[in-house]
Amino acid sequence: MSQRKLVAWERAGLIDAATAERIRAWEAEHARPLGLWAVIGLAALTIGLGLVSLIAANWQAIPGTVRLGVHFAAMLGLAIGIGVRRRDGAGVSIRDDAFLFIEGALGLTFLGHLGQVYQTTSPLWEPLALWLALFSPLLLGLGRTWLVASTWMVVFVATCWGFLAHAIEVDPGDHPVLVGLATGLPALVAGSAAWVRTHARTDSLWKRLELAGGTYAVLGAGFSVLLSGVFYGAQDELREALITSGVQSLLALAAAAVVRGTARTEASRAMAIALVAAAIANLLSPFVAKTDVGAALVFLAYVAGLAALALRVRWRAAFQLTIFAAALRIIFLSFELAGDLLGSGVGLILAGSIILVITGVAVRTVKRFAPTVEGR
Amino acid sequence: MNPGPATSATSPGRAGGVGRILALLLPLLGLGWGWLSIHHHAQQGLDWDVPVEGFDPRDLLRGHYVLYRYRWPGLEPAVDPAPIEALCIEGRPPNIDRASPLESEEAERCTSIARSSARDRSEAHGLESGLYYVDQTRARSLEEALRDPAMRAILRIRVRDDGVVRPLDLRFEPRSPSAPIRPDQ
Repeated sequence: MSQRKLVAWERAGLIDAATAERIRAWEAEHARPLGLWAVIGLAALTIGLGLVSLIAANWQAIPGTVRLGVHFAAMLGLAIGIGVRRRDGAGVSIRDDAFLFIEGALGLTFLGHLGQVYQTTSPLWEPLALWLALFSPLLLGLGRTWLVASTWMVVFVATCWGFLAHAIEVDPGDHPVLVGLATGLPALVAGSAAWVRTHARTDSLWKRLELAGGTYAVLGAGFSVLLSGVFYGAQDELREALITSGVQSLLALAAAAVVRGTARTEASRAMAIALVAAAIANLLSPFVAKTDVGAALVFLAYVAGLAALALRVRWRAAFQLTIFAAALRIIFLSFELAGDLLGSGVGLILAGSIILVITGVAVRTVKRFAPTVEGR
Repeated sequence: MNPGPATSATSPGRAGGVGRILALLLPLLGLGWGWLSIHHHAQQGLDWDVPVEGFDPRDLLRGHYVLYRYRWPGLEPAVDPAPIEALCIEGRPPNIDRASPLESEEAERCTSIARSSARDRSEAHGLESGLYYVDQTRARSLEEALRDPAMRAILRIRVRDDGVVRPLDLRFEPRSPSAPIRPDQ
């Protein structure tokens, strides 16, 4: 606590002398010896790094079975620790979820470790899928916070995408349905989590998984529209692109239906609408491929819809994000349209001015309209 | 996808406790069983020595593994081993007399049968090429030796009874002066 600030506040008449004195007393009582902690932390870090480098230097000298045994023992010990700690239904803090996270990380690295010791190879999605099968009951049953929800979601998405990558590798060519299924499946997590949420006693994890699945679909549709405008020359492959988008959109719509059907909060209803918007935007993306204005318009309409939704559920961060995404897209559109102009000095001045104006408008919009209270 | 059971830890009491213990045990049992089965399989099979060479002299070392290509003795250099499903290996382990694509009716003359696996990654096509994991300090010297035209790389492999090929060790020996040194492609 800064003494200078206290003095300044006291002088400005914000607090009186008695309050300042009480604050000083409270701070003195609750002060933590940060310097001492920093030194202890530094020492612990040094010892840890030393241990790691000792092990790393002798990695090959340690027999594989011993390494795997130690790795397995660490998992076993942590599992026992988690089991004992949660014996009486305790354990809802982020620290408890951190233990679950570490147990999951140990499990995932154990699979890689097995491959290294026994010199076996397999496509990446296989160990990930095995991990999902073995660890989902633990993580989804005992997890409560975003840490576990996002970890599980990341592995699930990686499994789907990894499976797709391997399938294309084995059999190159067009697989529009498979691409749509593999990339669209994570959206269903939103629907499944929403359904479980209505049946589970505590919904803290499921509401975050619902959010994670929905976010995946909403961001995915955004990137789909964005990339169709910038990179793809998909007009000649319209049929394939349409099938892929169609499958993805169907999955997003299915998730939206479940989320809407089970929704008990304003945020869930908004999520259902966002999923429908994502499905529509995604379906439109093949049609606007390789167009400047068309792709930008679809993207802006989509983002504007999301901004309105975020406003309705008073979700400040999402609102800010959508406004700045829209501003960025407009700036890029101006570059696309004025490509020739950019070579000249006048063009650069114009482009810079446009960026300033758009950023100014975006900042003002956020300041004026962004909800001050976080929803949910 | 079904994100799994929801009730294990959410319902208190005895049922919740049992679910919690099962959820904690499942990964340990699954991974433990996987380890045992891999370990058991790894003990079986015959060991063979196969000459190997690097793919591209500039790009042998990828992280913690060496990428190699088999030079099966007896297999014509013109024969592309990539599409071969199964390879018949004849000889006295670890010395290969002859390796040839397996014809179905003559399996009994093979000492070992190596099979390609569709589960392999793109860089490791069962009978054409593979990966050998090494620690980084050793990887550098291996890479240099693989690049040296005077040295010949010999990979000790173990061919399991089910045909899975697994690299065991990589060593180098000088090429005999009489043997022609193949020009690098």
